Amino acid sequence: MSPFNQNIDNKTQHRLKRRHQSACRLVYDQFATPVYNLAYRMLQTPEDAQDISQLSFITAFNKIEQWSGQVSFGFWLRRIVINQALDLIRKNTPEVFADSDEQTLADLSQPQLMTYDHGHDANYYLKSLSPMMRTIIWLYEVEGFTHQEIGDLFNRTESFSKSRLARAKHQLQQVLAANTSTLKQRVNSYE
Amino acid sequence: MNNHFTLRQWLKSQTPMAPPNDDFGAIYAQLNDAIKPNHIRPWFMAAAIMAIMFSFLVFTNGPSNRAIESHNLTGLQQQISQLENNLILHKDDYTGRPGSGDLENQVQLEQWLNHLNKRLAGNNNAQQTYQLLQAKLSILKSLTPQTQSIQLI
Repeated sequence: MSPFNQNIDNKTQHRLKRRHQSACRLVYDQFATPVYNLAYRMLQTPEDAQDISQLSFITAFNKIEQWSGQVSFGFWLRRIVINQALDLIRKNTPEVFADSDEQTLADLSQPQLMTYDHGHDANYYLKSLSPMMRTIIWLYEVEGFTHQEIGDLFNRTESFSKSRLARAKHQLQQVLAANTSTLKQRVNSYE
Repeated sequence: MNNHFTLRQWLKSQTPMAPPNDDFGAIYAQLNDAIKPNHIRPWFMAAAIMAIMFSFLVFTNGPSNRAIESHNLTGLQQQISQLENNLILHKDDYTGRPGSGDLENQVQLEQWLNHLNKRLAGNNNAQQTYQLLQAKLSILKSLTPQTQSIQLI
């Protein structure tokens, strides 16, 4: 279950509207880790992740009256984090948003199994992808977004999300293959 | 060591990354900076000043020789009661946007209301009660949007 799938009670919501410190603290404690984790996975730098986390909480506290309650508070907050992070990515690397929307057959025919070296954590591999690619991978595979929802986030189509996901997986495979080759060479040199 | 996992399983098995520092202090400080009032609406200020003046009268005036007619007092209390009910019923409509100067003013006026309510609770003098109720009425009217039509007796 997503750590964002948590709600806040009416009393906390009411107190948030009044900016009560204890209510803000409660929400911060509840969501600080999921917010930072998501921001970090998308941005891959601790400074950016920290900035986006702070900005997201401030935005959520300032716009709490816009939360309709139709989705859990956590999911609403998650959307704020994603939007803030995407804004930063857009600002820092506008070129990754400018590529074409074409989908190729090769993009969609990727294997479902890959081999990972557990000597590294996911950040090691995510860092090798473009911010857009790793965002799509994380949102689809971990946060459970649909391709349609991801397409909407980028103002693109569903197939845009599908093709970028496939390309991201392909890129990951290349990184992994390179790693495996290096590892084999190292092992051979010891023998 | 290499193992086979689906991408999803592997990513989901990652330990969540916790923030390196507790940033709440910085967040709340920025929040407070943002909600400081940029301006005070004149009619809010006028109401606050009136409340101060009435309070001042309460402190300086001794018992008045002029008796306050009981029906005036009753009428005033009814008006206040209606405004209070209206505010409770439509609190969300009347509450200023978070971070706005309006909300800050509303909070200040509500503090004045609490102060007046405390003085009213411990008051037996008709003249002072009348003045305090008038002060309360003016604050309640300030808290209610001017465009709102309220049936007053």
